[in-house]
Amino acid sequence: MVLVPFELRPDMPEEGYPVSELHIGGHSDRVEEHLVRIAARDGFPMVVPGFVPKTHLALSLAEMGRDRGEEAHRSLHAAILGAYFGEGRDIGAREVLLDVGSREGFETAEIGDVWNTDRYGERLRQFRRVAVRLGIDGTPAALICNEILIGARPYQVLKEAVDRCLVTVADVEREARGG
Amino acid sequence: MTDIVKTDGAGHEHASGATAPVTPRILVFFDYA
Repeated sequence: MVLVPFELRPDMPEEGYPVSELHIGGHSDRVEEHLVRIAARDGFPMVVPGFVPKTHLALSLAEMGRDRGEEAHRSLHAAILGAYFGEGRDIGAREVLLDVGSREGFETAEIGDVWNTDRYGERLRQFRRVAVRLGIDGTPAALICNEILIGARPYQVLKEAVDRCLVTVADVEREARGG
Repeated sequence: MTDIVKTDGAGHEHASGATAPVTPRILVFFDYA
């Protein structure tokens, strides 16, 4: 599985903005209450922050993790998500991200250099172009073999798509071996 | 070429118009907020 960053609002101001100013379809208190409930049920206490941070710095930090290897990337990715949805911290703020990054073993000076030079800016734009070419215009979304699933889908839907994908890959590999 | 099928949030399938030269495995598109 490949985690593909898709910066939803690349043009938003550095300081982010309150959720109340976010005019998106589908946003509802009922959906949020449902998410909080099922997250708690599955052992992941979750908060719904009242602000939307600009995510470019966080996505850039995560790319540092990708370059260090899959394990580091997954761990850093989880730490950033946890800071926002688990603790309600402002992951658009440099000091918050420096804290998260340093806890994950990254040097604060290097993180600062990554941001100051926008080292991963072009990579993030390329990832975004891949998504747009596939017809994806929001997150979360998943491409599972030849199926694109848009939005937060039930576990069973995702599992069935993965099962179909695994069968397809097995078939391809069997054919490659000559049947 | 593999045709990519798009399923929207309501579960409806659409031809995305996109193709891939190989069968891709799993990509998860995300943003942090």
